[in-house]
Amino acid sequence: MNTKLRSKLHAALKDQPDLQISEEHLIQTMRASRMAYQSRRQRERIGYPAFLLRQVRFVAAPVWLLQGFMLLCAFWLFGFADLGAVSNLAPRHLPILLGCFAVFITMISIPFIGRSVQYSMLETEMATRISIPKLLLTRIFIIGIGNVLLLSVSFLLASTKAELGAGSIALYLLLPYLIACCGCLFIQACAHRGYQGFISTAFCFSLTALLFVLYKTAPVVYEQASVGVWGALCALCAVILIIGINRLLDKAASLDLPPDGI
Amino acid sequence: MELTIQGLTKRYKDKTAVNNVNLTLTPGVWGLLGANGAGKTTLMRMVAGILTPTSGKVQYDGIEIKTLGEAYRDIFGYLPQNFGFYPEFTVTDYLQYMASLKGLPKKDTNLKIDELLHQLTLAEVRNKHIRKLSGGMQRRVGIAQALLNDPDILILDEPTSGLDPGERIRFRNILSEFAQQRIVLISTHIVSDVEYIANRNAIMKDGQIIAVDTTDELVKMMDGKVWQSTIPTEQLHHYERTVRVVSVRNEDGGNVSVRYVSESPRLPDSQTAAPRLEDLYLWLFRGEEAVKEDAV
Repeated sequence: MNTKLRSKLHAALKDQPDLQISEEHLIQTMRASRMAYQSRRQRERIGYPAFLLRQVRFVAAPVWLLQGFMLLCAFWLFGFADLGAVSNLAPRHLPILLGCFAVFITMISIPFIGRSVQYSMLETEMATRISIPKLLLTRIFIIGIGNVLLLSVSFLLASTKAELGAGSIALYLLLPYLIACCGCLFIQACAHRGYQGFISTAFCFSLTALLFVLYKTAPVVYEQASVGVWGALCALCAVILIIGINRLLDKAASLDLPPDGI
Repeated sequence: MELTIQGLTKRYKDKTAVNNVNLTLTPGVWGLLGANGAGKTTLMRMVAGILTPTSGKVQYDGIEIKTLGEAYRDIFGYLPQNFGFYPEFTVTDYLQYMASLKGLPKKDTNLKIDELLHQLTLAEVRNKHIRKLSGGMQRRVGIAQALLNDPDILILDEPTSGLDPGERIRFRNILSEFAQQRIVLISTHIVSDVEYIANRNAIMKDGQIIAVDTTDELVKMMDGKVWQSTIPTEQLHHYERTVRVVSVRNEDGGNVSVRYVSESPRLPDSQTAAPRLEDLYLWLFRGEEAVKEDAV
């Protein structure tokens, strides 16, 4: 018997202090419960790992396609420096390039989390066995795999070409990526339904512009002396991101449809 | 098997969409009739467990559906009024996606999809993109997804909108067959849909259930209120303003046969006619219809 049911039964029995429970009644109840349990229709259902695997086909296909395109861009930008893309820019311009690339990684993937609302699928999906928080978590996981791969490849390619330290490259990629993720998740959780994708894209473009302005007007931000601040901000953003994901899942669990439909 | 709705209320800021609804649903087809804005969709969403009531509860065999959670959704099929789909999905993709959300094992999924596609005559379009299908076909795909998990409780919100007459009849037959030992609740404002298949009907007005009974019993309420009369065509316009006309049929000799609802005969040579559910609907919702017509 699970704990929740046990405590509920316990609470119910507490309200009946004079209730006499005989052995015979207990046996009868057990027999009746067993019969009711056996007479129910047997429904074989898949577990979460099997569900996750089956979602790869539906969720991953479009996201991974875009992420694959970004991977090609990473090779072009950071891998084949001799072919021209970065040869004239690196290493001085590499931090801004890494930052913008990381923001674009977020921009192409995060809107996929809110597809249910965008295509009016939410109401149908909410009425299924898998809860919306589980579905969102699955999407975040699948999108995350692609993003981690993209960030890792970009990091490795940039490390081989640039004179910057591995730590600095990681920070120049991670901080803009984490800020973009936090912002987009906040927008997904708070913005008006149906507008999240548009607002997220606008936010990412604004962030890219901000990075560029900082690079032009305050180059000290990208200098070696600022690495400590970048590290601290990275840690802070990572914590905010985890809280943001938790909040999004909590909100999804108590989701209510608006009166005019979705 | 029993689905009990107790004192269910949903209030929004400035509107009470559903007001203290009590209803016990037993196996069979139930029709939920009401004009647009009567609160049918809100009620269905709360029964589906996707909308939190302001007060009241829904119980399945004595246990609140919120407590049942996944177990309730497992025996539940739902077709919303606004049925969406991802643009890249073909019919099969969509059904396989929904089957995975419903937790169906892969081997059962393919068999069930084949069966439903044949039942709903969608087999030929199984590999077509849903966005390229007609409205009626898209609706049938929606019905198929609701039936995927062989649900004990099936809730369909305006399932026949967009279906042609042939598709409607086929849908009714499928549903009648399916409803054995299951609870099926259909919300509609198309009276003929439920008239033929619903065992019982609940009529909703202004967020409240105003009548619950079998079709025959509900129709009896209209005994002596449905009339038929033959009048000259040129007088039709005049009478249309004074009585609630259900139907008009052209007759020979420049006359029309008018069927109308009224407490007493209002047209010359009126004779009582056998009432139908449609007459009751028009009787109960005459106010809303008038308002809508005025607004138009």
